[in-house]
Amino acid sequence: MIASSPYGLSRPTMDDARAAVLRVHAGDGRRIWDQLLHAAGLTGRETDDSALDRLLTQMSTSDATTRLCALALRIRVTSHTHLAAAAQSITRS
Amino acid sequence: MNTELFDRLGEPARMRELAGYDLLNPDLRTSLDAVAQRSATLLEAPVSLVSVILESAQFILGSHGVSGWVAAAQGTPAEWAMCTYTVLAGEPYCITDGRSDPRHSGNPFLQLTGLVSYLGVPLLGAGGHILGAHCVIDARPRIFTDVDLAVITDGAEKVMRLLHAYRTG
Repeated sequence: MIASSPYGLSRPTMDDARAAVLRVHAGDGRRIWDQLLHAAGLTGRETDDSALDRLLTQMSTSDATTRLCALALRIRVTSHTHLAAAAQSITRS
Repeated sequence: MNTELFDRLGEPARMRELAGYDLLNPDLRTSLDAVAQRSATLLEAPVSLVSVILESAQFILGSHGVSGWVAAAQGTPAEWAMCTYTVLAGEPYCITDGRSDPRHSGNPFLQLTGLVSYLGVPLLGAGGHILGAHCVIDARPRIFTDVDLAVITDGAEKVMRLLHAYRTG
């Protein structure tokens, strides 16, 4: 089993992505979030990694500020993936 | 996730200024890698970074001595990045020994990398926002000197001249 929160680091979720978009776009955040979901064919209630990946891909083709949100979330996803795998190997050894 | 910190870092005007740079340009990365290498060499430090702090992560634009998961991610979670402290302080920030510093002793980045000391200076954008930091990080405790600070400040000035050439908005 892969550690869910290695070193206290949680894997980003759709809720985290929504919070990021609302945060950096302030008053336009809700409208941009809805556009992103629509373009990605998502409801925003998905909980699986593939849905988040689709959303991040969509965000990466959006406006420059949203692209930076996607970049930050990708850094967190990649950090989590590597550290969770490392924690798993430590547990096994 | 750390909502209060991300609210500060994700302030819309600061994010818009960051979005006005071509941060993913490979030529920019090459140039910033060279600045990081120079700072690391001059300050005899194993690691040097040029990074911006996004709303929830540190994004490394140029580096020297970075490997492992940090290299794979091209950054770190914002709450683990010592450059986040530099950005929030808006002035040079140093850590002599993170292991005995209550602000940093529990930082997983230090625990995972074995690095313990840090000297960073902020990168001030033309729009008046602190965009990121240029820093050196060492595996030994260090008391950084005024000369060290002058070297890293000179590096930060080079970084901002390079970044200015990659403004898009």
